[in-house]
Amino acid sequence: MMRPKAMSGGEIPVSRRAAALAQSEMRTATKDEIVLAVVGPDGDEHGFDRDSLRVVGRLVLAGIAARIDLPVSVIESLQLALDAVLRRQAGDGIVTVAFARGEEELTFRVGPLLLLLPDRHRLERTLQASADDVVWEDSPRGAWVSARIARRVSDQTTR
Amino acid sequence: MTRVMTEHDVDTLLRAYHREGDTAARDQAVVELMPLVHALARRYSGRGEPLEDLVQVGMVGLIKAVDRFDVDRGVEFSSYAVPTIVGEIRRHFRDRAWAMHVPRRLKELGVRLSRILDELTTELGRSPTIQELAQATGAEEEEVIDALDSANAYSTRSLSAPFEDGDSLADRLGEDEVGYEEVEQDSLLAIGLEALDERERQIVELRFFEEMTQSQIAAEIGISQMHVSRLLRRSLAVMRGRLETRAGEEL
Repeated sequence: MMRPKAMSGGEIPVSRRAAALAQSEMRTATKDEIVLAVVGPDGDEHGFDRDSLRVVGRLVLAGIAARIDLPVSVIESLQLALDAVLRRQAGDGIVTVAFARGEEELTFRVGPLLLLLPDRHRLERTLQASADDVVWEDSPRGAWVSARIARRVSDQTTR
Repeated sequence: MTRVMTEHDVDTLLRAYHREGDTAARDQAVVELMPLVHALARRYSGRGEPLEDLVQVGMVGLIKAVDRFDVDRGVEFSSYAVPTIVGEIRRHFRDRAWAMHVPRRLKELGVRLSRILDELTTELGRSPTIQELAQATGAEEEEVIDALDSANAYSTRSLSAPFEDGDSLADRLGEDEVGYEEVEQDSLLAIGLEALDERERQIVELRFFEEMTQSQIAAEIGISQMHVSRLLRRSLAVMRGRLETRAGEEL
């Protein structure tokens, strides 16, 4: 299970930082947004419990996607894409996944991630196969990626 | 260098145990045959049960096989032991793994969904929505999501999901094992892939080795994503069937 990890120099414990981070993610949150923030155990090079986050992330994604009537095949592709993102190493022992639902679209934002450029290109290719827009943001703690998926009539036949 | 036990060596130990009551020979036979249990347990790893648990269950099967083997029937011990060990591992999944990780109603819903998903896809000419699946099955949307996710986790992890160290089952298939080299030399994936035609094999390789999405594969080989989804599902079923047949042939 996840345990709080103390930061060096007597700074704020990671668990509180995770909560603060999640809070910052939620500052623009609406009733249709869900934010998951997970702190990894001490010494875990991956920084977070990937399996737990992936399982919850898949279900949340499917739940939101169902609300905007995305077909199962698209949901499965999105789940695979999110799964691929969450297999990457976290940038700071904390990873946050924020889901947002609009009238006809959903967005998920994940980060920070430690990614080398070739891996980033690979992830981008994976995400672009499922999402309409993929946006990367770089921060000192790692990269953040956002993927937006809009529901279209064509979803019903082409994906 | 470790000497590989032959069927003759095993037979000698088992005769000593069954005819002369030599329990040391029994213990030695069990120890010498442990690599066989590991090899068989690995075939079932990646399905949500820790490999260590599968090895333990397999060891129970091995001990049963050693104790129940009739040395006078003139058959090789491995012919008797393999199905006994595999049977014990499969019983473990049937009795515990599914029940523990997937509630029975979800398991049953998953089976129904698999059929209805294909039917609705054909009927609608597109992939159905969660809501449509819920209506067709009479289940809640949340239950449909859970059942689909449970089914996916069970059926695909065996090939693609990473273990704690990042390896996948495919990565581990080629590990060396002392003894029973013929068992190890059988790359399970290769056996499964042999059962597929060229296009199916290409799709499986793109999905699980290249980690491409269904949409990417569809674009790559020029068919619809829906068709890729159908072919992948069928290919995995064919591969599972071939592997189970293979295990049965080792009787």
